[in-house]
Amino acid sequence: MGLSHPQNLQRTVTAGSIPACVGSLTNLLDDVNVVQANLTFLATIATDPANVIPIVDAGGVQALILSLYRNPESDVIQEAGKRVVAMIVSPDAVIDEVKELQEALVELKASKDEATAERVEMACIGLVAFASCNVDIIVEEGGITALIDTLKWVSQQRRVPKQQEIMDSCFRALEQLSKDPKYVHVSCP
Amino acid sequence: MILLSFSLLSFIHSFIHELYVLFMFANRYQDELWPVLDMEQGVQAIVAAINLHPKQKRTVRTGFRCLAAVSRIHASHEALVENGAIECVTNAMGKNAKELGVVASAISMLQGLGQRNLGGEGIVERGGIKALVKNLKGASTRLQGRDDIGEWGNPTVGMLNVITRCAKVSAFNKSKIRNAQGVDACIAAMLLFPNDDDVQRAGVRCLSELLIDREVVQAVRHLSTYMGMLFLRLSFLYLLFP
Repeated sequence: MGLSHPQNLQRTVTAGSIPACVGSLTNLLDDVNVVQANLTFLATIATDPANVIPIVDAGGVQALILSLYRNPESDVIQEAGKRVVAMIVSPDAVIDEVKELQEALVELKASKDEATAERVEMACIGLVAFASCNVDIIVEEGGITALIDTLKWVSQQRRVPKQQEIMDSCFRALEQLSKDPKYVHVSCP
Repeated sequence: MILLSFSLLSFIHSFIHELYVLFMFANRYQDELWPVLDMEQGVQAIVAAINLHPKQKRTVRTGFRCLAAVSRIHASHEALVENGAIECVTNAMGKNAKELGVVASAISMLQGLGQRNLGGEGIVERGGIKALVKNLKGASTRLQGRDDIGEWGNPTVGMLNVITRCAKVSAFNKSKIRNAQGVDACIAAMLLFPNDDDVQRAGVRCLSELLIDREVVQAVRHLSTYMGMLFLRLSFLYLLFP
């Protein structure tokens, strides 16, 4: 009996595997093998809807977003990560991320401080992860407009914190949104 | 028998579902995403951002990857050509010729653009071929002995594929490429990577588009003098007597 057996799966969850897995993912984002193993595990346990809230509560979404962003070249990580996104990220979370980008950009234009720049970057990184399954929501909520506004404004500034990082994340989000549909293997719910 | 028919039915169901998903995705991407990206002048913004920061290699690379993904949407080709995406890519290829990541992303964008005739014409008209020929001819000093070719792939294959695609578009393009020393560049690339099957195949495809029969014979002699490669000779013989 492997991990796919429902009883074994439930045993691991009861034993506290979710916080352990999310913690390991958060602390070892650049270790491809660790990220790969953790995302594959999360993809398996997220098939049970009862486990979705514990994953989200343990900080799984943030860890998932960062692990997808840091490992763009690994197909296994991208595939498993997108499967988890499809199962645990709600449309409301995507809408919130778009709004967060819009608000943070307005604030950054006014303040140009490091903390707000980080908020803008994190919102863009969030959209990179969510883009695999939520293109229509992102388009409808003005996510593309927000990304292009961010790119236009940030690239024209002389002194803005995290300029390169924000531009990179905008490019990555637009890339994910524009990806050829034949390469999208995840069936969205 | 029941099991067999059940598995056949489930296979048909999953096949129809995959087709449905692909169809929905294809329509959604073409119909919903591009109009918004176009309306917001997305291509212009991306190109401008790359042009404003040409020395930041990572940003240039991610920018080109983004353009490469956009170039897979066929409706975007006109905007890409008009907004200077080709010039942006060729300039960056010249400035970052040793950065394999940048070159690979740039070529990926040109490959996407070359899928349609409009993009193929744009690449030839706007100096894309000249940049590719220059890059192919200078490849000997840049690519030999590099241990990161495995990470990014040999960019020579992509360059040859772009030239082939552009040559297929029209006779005018073909003559332009020949005048820009495309044939020489192609042969130089093949000589540089005699053991790389992908380069050899891409080179043969490229030469078959560019050469007329008399030149094919000369090219075979030229290559045979240097290498005596059976594969190449056979490939050219196949081209002459298919």
